Amino acid sequence: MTEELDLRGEVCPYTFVKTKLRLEELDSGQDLTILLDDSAATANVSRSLRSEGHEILDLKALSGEVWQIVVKKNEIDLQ
Amino acid sequence: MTSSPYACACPAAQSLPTSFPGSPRWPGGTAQGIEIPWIKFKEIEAARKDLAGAGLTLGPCGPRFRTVTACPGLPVCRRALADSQSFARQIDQKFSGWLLPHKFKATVSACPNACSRPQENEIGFCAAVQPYMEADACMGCGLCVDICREKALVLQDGKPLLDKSRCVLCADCMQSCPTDAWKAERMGYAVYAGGKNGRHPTQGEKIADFVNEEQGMMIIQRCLDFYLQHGKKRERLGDLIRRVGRDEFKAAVLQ
Repeated sequence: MTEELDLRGEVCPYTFVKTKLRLEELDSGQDLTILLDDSAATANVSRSLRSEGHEILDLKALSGEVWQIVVKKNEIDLQ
Repeated sequence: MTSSPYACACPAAQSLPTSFPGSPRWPGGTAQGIEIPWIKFKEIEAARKDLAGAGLTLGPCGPRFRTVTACPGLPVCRRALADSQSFARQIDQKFSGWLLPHKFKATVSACPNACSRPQENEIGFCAAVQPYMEADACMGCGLCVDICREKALVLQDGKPLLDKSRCVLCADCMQSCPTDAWKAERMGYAVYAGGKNGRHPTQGEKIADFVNEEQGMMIIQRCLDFYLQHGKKRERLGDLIRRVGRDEFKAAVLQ
C-alpha cells in the first residue's frame, strides 16, 4: 500500500523537511506519494530525493496545478 | 573567506582610535574587499604585513585593473553553473594592479542571474549552458515547461520543445528534470565588455559566447592591449569602444 503525504500549501524548505521525516517512518523499498502545489518545490523535492539516493518512480501534473511525486525509499548509506 | 584572515587582520585594527565615531569597523565594500578605515598612514606598512600573513593583499585603486569580484558560484550556490570564484582568482592573480588609462573592473558570475553584475563591469563573464533534449529519456511530466521563467518551452506531442530565441541559457530545465533528459550541448562563459556604473551607467555589450577560462584570459589580455594602445587618459573602456567603434574593438579582441 502506498503512503501519501499532502504538502499542498507548504513552502520550501518545509516541503523537503516533512518529506524526509515521513520517509524515516517507512521501510526501504516502500513507496511514498507526495502532493505539492508548486512546480519549483516539486523540482527541489525531487532533486533532493534523488541526491539522497531515493528513486523517483513517477512525477506528473494533476489537475489544478497540483504536482504528484511517487518515490521509492532506498536504504541510505550513511558512511 | 574563512574567519582566520579576519582574526589575523584584527591586530591591525586594534591601534585604531576608539574615540572615532563608529570605529573600528569592517564594512564590506561594493568591490567585495575588506575596508579597514582609520589606520594611521605611518602604520600602513605594519598593517600590510599583518594582513599578508593571512594571505590578504592590499587592493589596487586608481587607474588600475581592480580586484576581480565574483558571485559565490559552485559549490555554494544551487543555481551555479561554474566555479566563478576560482576563475576570478585566476584573473586577479594575472591582471590585478595593472596600470591602465582609467579604472578597470572585471567580474565573474556563475549563471545568467548575473548576481555580480557582469554587464556593469569593463569585462564581465557570465556562465551559461545551452540545453538539448534527449527525448528517449523524457517521461513528459512537463515540470521543466512549468519551471522555465522565460516561457521558452512548450509541450508538443507530450515532450518539451525549446524556443532558442527565448532561452537565456540558465539550465533551470536541466536542474528540474527528474530523469536527466536535458543535457548540456554547450557550456561556457558569455563575455560582456565596456559596462560601468556611476554617474553615467552603461550596459556592457556581449562580445562572445561559450568561451572557456583559457579563451577568457586571452580576451582580457587582448582587451588590455587594445585599451593601452588606444585609450586616452581617464577614458573608461566603454567610452573607448564607443569612440573607435565596437567592430574594430571586437576584431582586435576576438581575432
